[in-house]
Amino acid sequence: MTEKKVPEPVLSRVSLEFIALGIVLLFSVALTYAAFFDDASYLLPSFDNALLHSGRVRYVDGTGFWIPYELVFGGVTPSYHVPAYASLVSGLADLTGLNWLWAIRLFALLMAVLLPLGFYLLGKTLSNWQAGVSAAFLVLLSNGVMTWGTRPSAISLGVVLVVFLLYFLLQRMWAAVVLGAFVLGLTHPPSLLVFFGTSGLYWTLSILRRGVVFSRLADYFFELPLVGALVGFFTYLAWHVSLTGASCLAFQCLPQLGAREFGASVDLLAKAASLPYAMGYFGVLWIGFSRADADRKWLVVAWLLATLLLVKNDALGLGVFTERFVTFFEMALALSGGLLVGLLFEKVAD
Amino acid sequence: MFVVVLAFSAWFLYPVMRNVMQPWNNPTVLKDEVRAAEWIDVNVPVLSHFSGDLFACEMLTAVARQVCSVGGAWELADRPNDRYSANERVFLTNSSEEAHRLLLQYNSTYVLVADRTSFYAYGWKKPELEKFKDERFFELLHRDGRALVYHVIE
Repeated sequence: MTEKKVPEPVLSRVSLEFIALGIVLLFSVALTYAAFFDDASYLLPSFDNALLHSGRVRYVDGTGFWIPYELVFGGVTPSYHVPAYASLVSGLADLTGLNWLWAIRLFALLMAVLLPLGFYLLGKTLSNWQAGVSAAFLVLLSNGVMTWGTRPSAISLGVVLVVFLLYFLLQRMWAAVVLGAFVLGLTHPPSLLVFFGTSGLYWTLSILRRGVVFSRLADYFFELPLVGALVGFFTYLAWHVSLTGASCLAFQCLPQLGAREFGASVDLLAKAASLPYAMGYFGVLWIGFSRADADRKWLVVAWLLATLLLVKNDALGLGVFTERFVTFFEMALALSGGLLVGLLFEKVAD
Repeated sequence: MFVVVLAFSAWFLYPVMRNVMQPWNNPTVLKDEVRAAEWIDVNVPVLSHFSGDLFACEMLTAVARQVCSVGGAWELADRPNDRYSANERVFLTNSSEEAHRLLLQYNSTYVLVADRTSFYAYGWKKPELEKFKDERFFELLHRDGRALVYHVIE
């Protein structure tokens, strides 16, 4: 009697995974391509001071130096911006031989690939590939991320660094975390604040979970989440002091703080009607019901909590820059929504 | 099944996200202004001081490597309201003398103006272009379609 041969599936699990990832990456690149070549066509998207960032790129590209003052409002205000975005794009221009405009476009397309890729890697590491692909797709459906977080400016690099840094943290990749935190410290202060808050909270929750042993307190300070957070913070501080000396250690000279740029209170419940928010909110079920280990769950909790506190800082009596952090809260929700999908597949597999 | 749902979702949601993002992608300035800025990049010393509308100003920093009168990031400004209000007055007044005085007060030696509704400080408004024809105060350096580059005579 001959054994019945089971036909091999046309598409293996691995190829399905890569087809799914390919669809998401194509979606992201298509949106960015249309934004830059259909909508902005002869120049670049201009909102949110994107062309001012391009001006800084052009200056660095032409002189090799960072511009010490603002290029607008008569050029009389010192610049407290950080140089990584302009320097990297300028470096890309030198490396590729492209002019500044094409280097900015190429960099934007690169970020359009890296942003969903980072979510895929993070979601897959936390749960399964379906979670990774879903998180990557959901972040591309998040209005705040796609309208503000993908500008041709420093924020586009900041959001990508945040998601990759969280992935590196989870994988305990020391060199990548230290290098990434260093670059983030010179890229975009709000993104740095998100990483600093998330990583710091992750570290705090982690040592509380294990029970604090006071005789071993020094050991805790050499754990990667805290080291990463501090590398980012002190990198930014060093740049800041190089510009201002010791006269502005409390950052009171920063124009954004000096001008007391308050933000309106953001109604996060009203946004629950949109798909990424609804899935993100339900995604917290993953924390309770997934079989993932506690370390992974605490990272997700830390990201959600840190970004929630930043968006709702008005509830703490601050009310500063609230809307600016919606982008980052949406990123944490996209991961959470992806993990909800991952949880469904996890339960089906069980 | 997952891949099929994903593919259909991507297909149907792509136009939705295009509509969400599209209003943010507009370059705002005219092609004429970009070409005029390219002319400026070649013919005007780098980091000269210009006046223009908010979007033209930011474009000038990139395309023409110039310094400009206003920008979107108001918190970066020294006395932002004074500068915004003077900038708007320069472009909306029909007095060439007043525009000239304000330009010199804020150290602007060049003007890029376009015949379009512009954002000089407080809302979208059409500029008063006739005053720039007063040769006592302004010298037309370059014209590209609806974009005009003037030198402010000191």
